[in-house]
Amino acid sequence: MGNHSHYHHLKHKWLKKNKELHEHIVLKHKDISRSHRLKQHLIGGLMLASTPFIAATPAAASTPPIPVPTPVQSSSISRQEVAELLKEKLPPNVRPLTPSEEEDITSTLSKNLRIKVLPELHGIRLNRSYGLIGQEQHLPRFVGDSISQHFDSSDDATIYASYGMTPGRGAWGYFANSKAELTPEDNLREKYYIAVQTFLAPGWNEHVSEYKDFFKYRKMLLVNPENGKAIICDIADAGPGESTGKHLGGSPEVMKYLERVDGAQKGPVLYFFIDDSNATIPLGPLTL
Amino acid sequence: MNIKKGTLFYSHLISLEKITIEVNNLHISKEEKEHLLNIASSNIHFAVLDVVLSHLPSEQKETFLEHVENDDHKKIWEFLKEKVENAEEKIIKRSEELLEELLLDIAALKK
Repeated sequence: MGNHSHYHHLKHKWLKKNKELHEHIVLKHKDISRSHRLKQHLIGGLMLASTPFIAATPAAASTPPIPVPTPVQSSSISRQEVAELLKEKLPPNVRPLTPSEEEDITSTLSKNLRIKVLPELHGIRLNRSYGLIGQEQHLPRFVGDSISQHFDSSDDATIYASYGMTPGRGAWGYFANSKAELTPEDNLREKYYIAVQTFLAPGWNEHVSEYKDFFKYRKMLLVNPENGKAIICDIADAGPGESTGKHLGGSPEVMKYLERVDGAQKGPVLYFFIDDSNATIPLGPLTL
Repeated sequence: MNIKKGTLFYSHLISLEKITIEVNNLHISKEEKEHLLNIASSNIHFAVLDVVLSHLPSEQKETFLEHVENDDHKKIWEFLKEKVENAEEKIIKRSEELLEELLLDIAALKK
């Protein structure tokens, strides 16, 4: 076994133990399972274990967790292996998956990425979970936002400024009321946003208000099945229109990470909801 | 690289020296060592929580978690000494069991 394998072997084994210990506490102490404090302690422990490249200390385990935009190292297999697994399970053409295909694929992704992914959450689903993603522009985060002040660094500006900014706001309006009120979370929501066809979701017309609330900044896992790259995104816009032949859109940062920035500016992705009811899963790439 | 000590109410009871040395002896990157030590710390934290909660009645579990949240070690130990018989021994025993398991996992790599 090579040295690098030592790390992966121990990581896999110890994370499995970590999960067992966590589940044991939840099951054994059902009497306080609704305790906010218990949840914080459990999440704190999980965050510590899933924080790979930060010099964390045991103190972090007792601190209420703050979702941070660091990559989550959650898997025990490589991206290539994810891609190979998906290749075996996906149909040759990009089309809506059958329920059994969805079940098979979500089970595979949940198991290997260690994140529970679902085609349907709280009884709500999108029109499909396998489709063509297209390039979107940046969204204005507040009144007066512009490309010249949109990026955290000059490197980001060099890479992403050329994609431009939409003249209108996202489906939920501005991310913040003003530049002064913009939080790091707002910033990440724009950076890793996707647009999905909310208006085609089964039941949309009958439950517009309820569905809007559900979809607003809802986190989803996107996977490029051709390279196994996965990223946690949030829904911040509705679209694209049916006539475009595309089924969802991604921010420039999302598209760049997934490597979906080929000449056609579109390509297949899988997209599923994640159960993040404790708001502990940060937006951004999953490093495998 | 070392895990910072003295920051949790049970830190003085648990020696992380062995596991730190063994992980540091692995020919893996600094970041990988840090990640493994983070997981080990998290596992110990869960085990300690479990052992304490298992010896408290329902109505006192929340009080314990509140003291831990406030990081008031004096209050935590006053509480534990009153509510849990031989709390220190129980925490030491469970954490040592767990650390032994982790050390065996590392030892198995060398076989």
